[in-house]
Amino acid sequence: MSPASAVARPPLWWLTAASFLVAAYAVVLVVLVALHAGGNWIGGPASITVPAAGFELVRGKGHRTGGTFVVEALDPAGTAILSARVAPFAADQYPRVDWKLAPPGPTRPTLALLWRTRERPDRTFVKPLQWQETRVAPLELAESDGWSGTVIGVALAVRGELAQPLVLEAVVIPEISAASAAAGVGRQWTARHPFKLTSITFPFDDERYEDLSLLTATALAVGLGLAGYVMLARRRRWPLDARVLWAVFLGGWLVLDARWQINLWRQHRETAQQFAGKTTEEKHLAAVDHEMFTLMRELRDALPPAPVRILFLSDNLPLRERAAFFLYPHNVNAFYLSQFRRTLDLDPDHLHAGDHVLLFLFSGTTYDRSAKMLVWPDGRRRAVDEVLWKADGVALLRVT
Amino acid sequence: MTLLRDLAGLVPGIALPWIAGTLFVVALDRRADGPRWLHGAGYGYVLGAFAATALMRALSAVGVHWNVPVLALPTLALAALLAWSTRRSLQPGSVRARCSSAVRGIATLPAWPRGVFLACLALVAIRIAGLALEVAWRPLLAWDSWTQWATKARVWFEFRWMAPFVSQQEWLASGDPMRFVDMHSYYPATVPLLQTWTGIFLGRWDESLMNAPWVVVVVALGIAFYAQLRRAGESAPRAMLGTYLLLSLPLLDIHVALAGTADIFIAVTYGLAAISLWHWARTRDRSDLALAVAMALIAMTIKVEGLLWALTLVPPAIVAVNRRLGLALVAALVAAALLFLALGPEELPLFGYVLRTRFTNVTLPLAQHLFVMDNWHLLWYAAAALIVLRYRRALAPDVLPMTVTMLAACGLVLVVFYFSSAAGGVDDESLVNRMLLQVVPALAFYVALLLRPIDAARRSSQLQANAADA
Repeated sequence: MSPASAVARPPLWWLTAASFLVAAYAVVLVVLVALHAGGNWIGGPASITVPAAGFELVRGKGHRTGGTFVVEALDPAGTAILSARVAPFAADQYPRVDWKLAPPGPTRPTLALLWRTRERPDRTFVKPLQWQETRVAPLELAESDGWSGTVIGVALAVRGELAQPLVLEAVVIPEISAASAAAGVGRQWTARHPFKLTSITFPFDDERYEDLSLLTATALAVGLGLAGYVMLARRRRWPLDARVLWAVFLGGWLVLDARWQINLWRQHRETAQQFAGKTTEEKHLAAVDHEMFTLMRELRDALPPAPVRILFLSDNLPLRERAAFFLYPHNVNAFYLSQFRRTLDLDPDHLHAGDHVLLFLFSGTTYDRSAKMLVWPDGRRRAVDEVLWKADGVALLRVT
Repeated sequence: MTLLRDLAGLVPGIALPWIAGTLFVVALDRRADGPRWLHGAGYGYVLGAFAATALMRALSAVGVHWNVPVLALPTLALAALLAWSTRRSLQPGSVRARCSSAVRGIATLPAWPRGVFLACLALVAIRIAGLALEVAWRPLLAWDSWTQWATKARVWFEFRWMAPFVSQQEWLASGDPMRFVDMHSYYPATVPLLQTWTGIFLGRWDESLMNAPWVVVVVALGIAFYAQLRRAGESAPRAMLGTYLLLSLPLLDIHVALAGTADIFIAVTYGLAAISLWHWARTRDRSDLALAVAMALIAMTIKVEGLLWALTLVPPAIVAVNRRLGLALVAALVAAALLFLALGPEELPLFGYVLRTRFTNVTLPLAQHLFVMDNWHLLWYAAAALIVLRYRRALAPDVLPMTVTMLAACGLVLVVFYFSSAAGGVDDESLVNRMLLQVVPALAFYVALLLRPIDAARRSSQLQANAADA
């Protein structure tokens, strides 16, 4: 073999592919970390944490309890504001703010971060916060948002509807450095995505708030790896080896799929612990909504054998739909009221004798227990028999 | 003991329609060189499962209440009849010879391709085993599963016939305790009937095990996809790799794991219809056309979208018969759509949707779901890159019908997402991935076609060699 042909021979295809893919991932990761390191390669200024105890309620109603601040209600203008003074800090050293808040049930108010700076004490800056499935997404701030100069105070604004109390634990303004950025990326890429009600529609919702999702990073790495290989092969006059192209692409795919498989295994283990070896009834008793299942079972036990017609009325649509399922195979109608209609515009005479009406936290029609009457807001009435009544807003009634 | 009892119910409940369906496909496939068993098994489950639900509808219509003998005996009789009609293919020697030929084909592969084949097969097996356990353990979780699908299954299982689900007005007016209602009373019955069928064979209402068809249908999809790739000329390792890539998609896996909704059945039926149609365009084999039509019809009985997807198969069918006429039809449809946008009424109710001339920009959530969140691994990146880089391949005569299918599917998605009442479902993200799931098996097959080299001689010889293994 001549020396010239020895130089032109490409290295092992799998080694070439692995090298290009690893190098491309490294490039993507380094650029990503550099963009989020705030210029601090070794270490940055220490994190700032303001615990719930450091907050004052400026508007709305609430109280401190344990290590948290509970916002119970908004003021008449529909707003609550929790404010805290902080030790002054340079905004450009802390481009991220992370609120530790527990979501107040399915109806979520609009949230915003407010802040003041020493340089502009007369102005309050605002940036909206985004709810994720179980928390508030960390907020990235830039000079264009007004996040500049020296920050002297931060606040949380709550607007809209607050159906259940909002619980604040703390606000963390984290240290930013290459190490913390890399650790953050690592945490994001290995975060669990457990199965939930909305998983069939958007299972990876949290990924949109990540610095760079693993999918996008992988696509960039695969693209870079393929481009790098093609350029080098042309430069060295190697014949393009389809196996290298395939291996780079499949390597990226396998990285994503390995993470997904691990996520699935973690989910299988959790599902097994919660449900394996149980009957359907026992599974419902082990589920997160077991209290609702137990209540519906109690109602079912009070009914004659199926099918019994039940008009299920509740202000809360998701609760009504979920609870209704536990009543089948009875003939349950939980879908009469739409999400936005909370009054029963059905004429009392249109209820059939023998029909059942289930009032479950419903404000549109009330039950007059002493008169055994279903009472409409405009005073219309219909006689009923009480099948089951509970003081906490549940009444199962039979129309007579 | 419980496990054995459950298996004693589940296995016949799944196997009977599967065997009958497989034998039907084999009977349909009158080839001189013998039947394609994998192809038959893949399509067979879908056909058999649908036939089972058709039997339930028929019995219910004539007032016969369901039980195991009433459901099993006709299915068994059908399977026996089909076995008799395909008896030559079922001779032990013939089946054994084909099996050993397929195994020998894998065993004699060079080390790397054999390794790829076995590794992909193992990855698929691991994934499906995990999903099967998840289905067996978990009660219904997905929202739609208990607002509009299992509601019907629960009632029909209890009363052993298809008690009607009616509108709100009818429910309020009638007072009849046997006229039921749920979130979408008018939704088709196929999916809840499959749950009911499984429950009856199981002998009890089990909110987890009744969803066994979700696992079986994804196995059937894998088998059919592999077999159709082999028929298209792919080597066994590449076909198995393609099957792994399809079945590894997270959103597809989630729709199996959180069984109870209908989208995966639309994805399988539409995907298999589109693939069979493409094979028919290439081979003019009537059995392919029959399967394409059957799968499209089944898709229409699963969900409203099934009809829309089925309509996207009309332009490629016409292109396959007469390319000029087909392409003229595509051009006419595009022109009609543009005219509607320019001159049409603000709103036009059509097939359960409301078409709008107003553009709703849902690009951001769409892009996030395709290219940021790991719903589909690298599928959409790869598809976009290949369509750009291999556009000549997309327009090659042998691929053109599938290109037209994908264009029609793409047009449907764009209209539904950007110009219909469903835009809200895209914007709030409840619809975006579910509708895309329905086109993904067909898209995956199309991507595989685009990757093939343009080498007619190689393909022709490969096709003949592979047909036997499929």
